[in-house]
Amino acid sequence: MKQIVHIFRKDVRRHWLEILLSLATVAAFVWLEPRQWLPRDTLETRILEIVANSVEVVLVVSWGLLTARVVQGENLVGDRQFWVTRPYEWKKLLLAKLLFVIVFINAPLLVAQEVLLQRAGFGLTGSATWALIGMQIGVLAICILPITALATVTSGIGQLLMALLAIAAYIAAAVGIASYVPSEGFSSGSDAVQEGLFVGVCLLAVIWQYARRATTKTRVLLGAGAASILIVVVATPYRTLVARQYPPVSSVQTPIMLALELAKPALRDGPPDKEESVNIRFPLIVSGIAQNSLVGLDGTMVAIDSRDGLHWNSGWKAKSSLLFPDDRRLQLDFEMPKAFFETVRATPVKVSISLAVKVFRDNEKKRTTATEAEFAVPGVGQCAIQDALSNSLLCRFAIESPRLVVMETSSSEIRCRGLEDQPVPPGRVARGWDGKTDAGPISPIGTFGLSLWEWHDLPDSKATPRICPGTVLLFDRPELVRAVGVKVDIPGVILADYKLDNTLTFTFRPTR
Amino acid sequence: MNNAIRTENLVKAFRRVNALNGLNLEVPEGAIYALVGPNGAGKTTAIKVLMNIIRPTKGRAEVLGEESTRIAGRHYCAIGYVSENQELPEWMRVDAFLAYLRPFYPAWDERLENELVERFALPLDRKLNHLSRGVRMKAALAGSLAYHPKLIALDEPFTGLDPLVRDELIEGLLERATESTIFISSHDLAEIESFASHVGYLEQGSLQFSEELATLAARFREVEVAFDSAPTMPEAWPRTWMHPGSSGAVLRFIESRFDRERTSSEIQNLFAGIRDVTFTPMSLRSIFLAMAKAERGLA
Repeated sequence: MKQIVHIFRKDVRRHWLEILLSLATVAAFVWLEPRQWLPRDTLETRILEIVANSVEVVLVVSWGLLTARVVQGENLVGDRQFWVTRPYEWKKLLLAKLLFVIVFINAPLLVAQEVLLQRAGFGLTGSATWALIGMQIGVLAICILPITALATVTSGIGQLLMALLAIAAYIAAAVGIASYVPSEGFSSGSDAVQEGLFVGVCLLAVIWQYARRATTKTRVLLGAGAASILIVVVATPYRTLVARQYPPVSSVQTPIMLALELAKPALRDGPPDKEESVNIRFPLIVSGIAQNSLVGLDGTMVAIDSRDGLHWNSGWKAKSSLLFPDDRRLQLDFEMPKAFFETVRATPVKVSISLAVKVFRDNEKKRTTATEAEFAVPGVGQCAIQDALSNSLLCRFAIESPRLVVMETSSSEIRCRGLEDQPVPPGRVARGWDGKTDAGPISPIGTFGLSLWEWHDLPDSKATPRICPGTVLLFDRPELVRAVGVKVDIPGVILADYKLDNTLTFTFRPTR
Repeated sequence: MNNAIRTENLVKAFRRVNALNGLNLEVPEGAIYALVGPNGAGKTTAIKVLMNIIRPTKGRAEVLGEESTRIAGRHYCAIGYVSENQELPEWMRVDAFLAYLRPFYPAWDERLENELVERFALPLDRKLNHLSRGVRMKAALAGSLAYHPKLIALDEPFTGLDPLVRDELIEGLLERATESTIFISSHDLAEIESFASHVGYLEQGSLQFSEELATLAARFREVEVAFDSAPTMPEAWPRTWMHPGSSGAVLRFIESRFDRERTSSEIQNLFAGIRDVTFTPMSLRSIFLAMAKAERGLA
């Protein structure tokens, strides 16, 4: 322990300037982060939001710099350092560096997170404390460990930056390769393996390098780790994993039924097709969603088979959509290779649509009245109206996300001024929803927006739902019941009837 | 007598080049052993392997009874290592540098530290990166002597130093010679001749010889034989004669196993008409030059 503290004190004396810079960035983060929670209704708040986001990046960079400098204070690369022939014990040296990181990165961040929780109007409960400690481990694993691994195999900041450039090139190449792997973008089945490999290899590299100072071998280890992750990305049986995550159900048990609408879609004006692909839109009729249930669409896959034996499959594509029992239509847009399309465009083909869906059950809806100031929504967090005559709320939560939140209002409950020219029959319903992952690991506060886009059964109305002080809102946090795979085969489809001219993205949007 | 350092067939290869090529070395405890040789002979590599800074490719080495590859942590409490290329914590002041080293060594002697600071006239309030090369070397040496190491290993410590600083370092070192084994590498023979007790000559990663300096000086002589007239050269020279050559009626060579009676007898057996024979002691530098020439086939 004596040696650990001794090295730690030396590092503090050596790196006081970097420490001050890092602490100043933490202070700036604490000051600016709450700007992200404010409604972004003015130029000033939008600029402050950008600055607040930038400070988070600067914070990570300052940690990286501090970590790299302190690790390279006892450089592990080369054979000329005075300390390698002094009675340093590698475990104590490593622990001294860890102590430094905990004291000057994790501890200030923990304090900052507690202050932010208080400022955000959330108390610091026992479970929150444990969650914040969990976030510190997240920061160590995601931010500190990789930079430490790189710092142990590079001799200075310049070499470290070169290594970071090489990693950026690797990531770009990996993303490029992954884009050619069917269903990779949807399935997160191998994410845990990739993350485990990433953390495991970095950890092993740090320990190995401290214990042996075998720089070349450690670099090879890191390179092999990067290659292994790429192999996992390419070799993961995504469809099998999706089938396991969303087990297929029979037509009897299906939570949703789909049929292709016979009416041809209206062609939209827009830019011409891409050189190698065309855009298709299938208008679908939805039915069979049980009352008090919701169906979340997580992903879709379209397969097309021609009578000539030609086959094309889109692979699983991630989607984010929610269907309610009273939803009747939805559109399935997708992109397919022009060559295949031209081959089968005028001949009837069989279209197979697979959906990865989650079935939710309504919970008790909580009734809340919007106010001019922020207002608390039980089980959701603190919410505020985005701006005057807005259709959106900006809500924030502490640490654990409320997952799926559905907001609903009735035309009878809206009494906003200035909407007299947009009359809506009483009893009409408008809904908005969002789903978020947990906050962290840097900020303990997460935000999400809830927007009311249109009145149900009045899709073509110019009347837009609004939220203003006094509007009564119903909030629901539906409970996940099951995840299933649904497949629909539609024979005799003429693809040319469903070709669009200007749809550039693959979207799946419910219509009513 | 125990050996402070012992190596067996030590090989260190960098890619396809062997920097050490089967080095067999024994350094007795208490010796001031000078490992000499030309640049690139493998001296620095040998010391780095001994200090476990780098690992050998083959063979083994023992330092103070410990396998070199296991030297780590507390083992360095008994070893003081200083190298001309060592990267010191340049941002530290001299006093902070010594204060930083102090807690690492249970045997750190603050009185000795003060003596060394005084002897080397170290400017305690100056940062290491503001010091001249010589003063930095003295600071490094002070930081390696103040804990009474059993072995002091110095890699080309005097290179580029002015004679005054060099003498100060040597004096400081010799004061510790009674309690330590000193292992020093150098390519400058003159600088180690005055104080080394043993010497080893390294050439292309192999030790050409290793012995006590006094023995070495005793066995090498420059021999000059004067004849009445130009002598007839023999078909084969004795193996211990190096670089024989004649100039008119004078024959010169270097005897590497000098024994007055035996050498005189060999001369008498090979030549007639000898007028005079003189045996001149050689400096270490002359001995090594002769050795180096012989190794490179320039004789």
